[in-house]
Formats: sequence, C-alpha cells, structure tokens
Amino acid sequence: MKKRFSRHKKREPVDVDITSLLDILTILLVFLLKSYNASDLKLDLVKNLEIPDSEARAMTRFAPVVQVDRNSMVYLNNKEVGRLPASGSLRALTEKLKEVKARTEAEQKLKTTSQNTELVNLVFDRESDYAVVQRVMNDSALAGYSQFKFIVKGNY
Amino acid sequence: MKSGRKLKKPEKLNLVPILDSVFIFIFFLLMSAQFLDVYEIGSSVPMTKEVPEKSDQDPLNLTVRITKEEIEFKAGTRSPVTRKFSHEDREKILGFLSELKKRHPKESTMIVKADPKVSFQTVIKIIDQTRAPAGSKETLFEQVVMDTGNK
Repeated sequence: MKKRFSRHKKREPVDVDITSLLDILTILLVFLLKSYNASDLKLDLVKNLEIPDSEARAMTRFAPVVQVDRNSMVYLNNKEVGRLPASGSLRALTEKLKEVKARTEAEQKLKTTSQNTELVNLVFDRESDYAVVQRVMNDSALAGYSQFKFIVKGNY
Repeated sequence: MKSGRKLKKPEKLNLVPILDSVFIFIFFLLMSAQFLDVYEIGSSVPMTKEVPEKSDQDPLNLTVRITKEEIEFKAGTRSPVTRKFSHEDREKILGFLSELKKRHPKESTMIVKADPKVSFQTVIKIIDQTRAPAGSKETLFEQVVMDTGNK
C-alpha cells in the first residue's frame, strides 16, 4: 500500500498569477467609487417614466416618493395608487399620503426616525403637463406636505 | 568565480487580506450603487406673509410666467417691471436676472407660474436658468415657489 502511494510525486503548489484579476478589481473599484451616491434615497423608477434633465446638484433626501408616469398613473413608494382623473384631484393619493405622514409622525414620537414629515419627493415624466404637476402638488399639500422636492436627472 | 552569498528568492507579498477587503468594499459599493444620477429641486407651498407697509425699497416679488411661446418676468409691486423673452434667449435672461440680483441682493425667492400645457422639462429648464448661471457658483434666485393653481 505504502509503495503505491510513494509512486506519486509530491506536487508543488501552483502559483496563480492574480495580476490581471487585481487590474480588473481596481478598475471596478474606481468606477464604483465614482458612481457612488451618498444620498439615503434609493429611487426605483416605475415604467413609462423619464425624469427631466437639470443642472441642479442638491442631494436627494429620504421621504415618501410620489411618481407619475407619462400616462398619468400615480405611484406612492412604488405602489400603484390610481390614474389622475382628467380634472380634479386624486383623493386616494391624499388619503395614502396622510397615512404615510401619520406613520412617520408616530415613528418620530418614538424617536425611531428623524425624517422630515413635511417633505415629499415628486417624480414626474419630462413630458408631463404642468397641470399634472399642479394637481399632484395640491393633493400632497392637502395631506399636510408643504415641502416638495422635484427629482431630476443630473446632466453633464 | 562564484560568490559565497546565496541568491535570495524574491519574497512574495501576501495579497490575500487586501483582496478580501477589496472584495468586501466592491460588494458594498455594488449594493449601494445608483447608476442614475438623481438630484432635487426644492419648492414649497405658496404662503403669504405680512410685510411692513412703509418700506424704502419696493419688494421684488419676482414672478416668472412660462408659456409655450415665451417667458415673462415680472418684478416689483409698486412699479412692476415686465420683461418678455423667448425660450432661446438664455443670455438675455441671465443678464436681466443678474441685474435684478444686483439691485436686490437679499432677495432669493422666485414664484413660478406656468401654463397647464407646458411640459415639466421646460419648467425645469427655466428654473435652472433662474437659480444659478451654468458653471458658476454665484446664485440668483434659488428659492423656487411653484404655483399650485389654487386660487
């Protein structure tokens, strides 16, 4: 038995050249560091929505996100609320925003969040009419939100 | 002639710990990466406030009305100044606003009114022009109050 094993030569440990792997990792690291955004708002855009370009450079902040696509479908925190009517307000949006606000205020009392309860992020399609913007602002104001943050895309 | 010294084999660096940390760092960055550069433009609900009746300077009360064809600026309440520009008059708009800012350095608010049919992108473009000149640190009227249409 011993004899059989001894026939095999002891292999030397193989040296793997990791230089190219390190090169790739460095490039990836630089790319990711450049695209790193310190904002605490993570935005998942809904379908049929292209946000407008802007020269603004103010960092986004965490707050409820209302998105309105180019077909006037309204989403609150990525959940569908309904379609904006041809005229007038979307009551469901106001009600849902009130619920979110009440929840945030309760959390604030328990000191589990330091979120600004007056602030709402509004995301509109670049081709949306200003009338749509006005109506969503109205509905948000009725729910008690007085500070609107329009989310835009940075252009260079 | 052979030298008495033994040739030393080059020592290999132990890259395992640094590779571990780089992997963790990359994983963290990948998880938090947002490949869409998003920023915000703030606005607040229009509110009224009382101002003392006797004031030396005419309050600016800068209002911009945006239509599909033109941009109209209105400044002042006692003797309002109205200027109209086309959407391409970027330089003229900048000149007009810089002049206003020089005369009213403490003013930073602008009311934005737009026709219901004007696209959101157009409104944002005008706001960009009136908040700060492109590529400059100087600010003009950075506080924007969007008209909510409530009469």
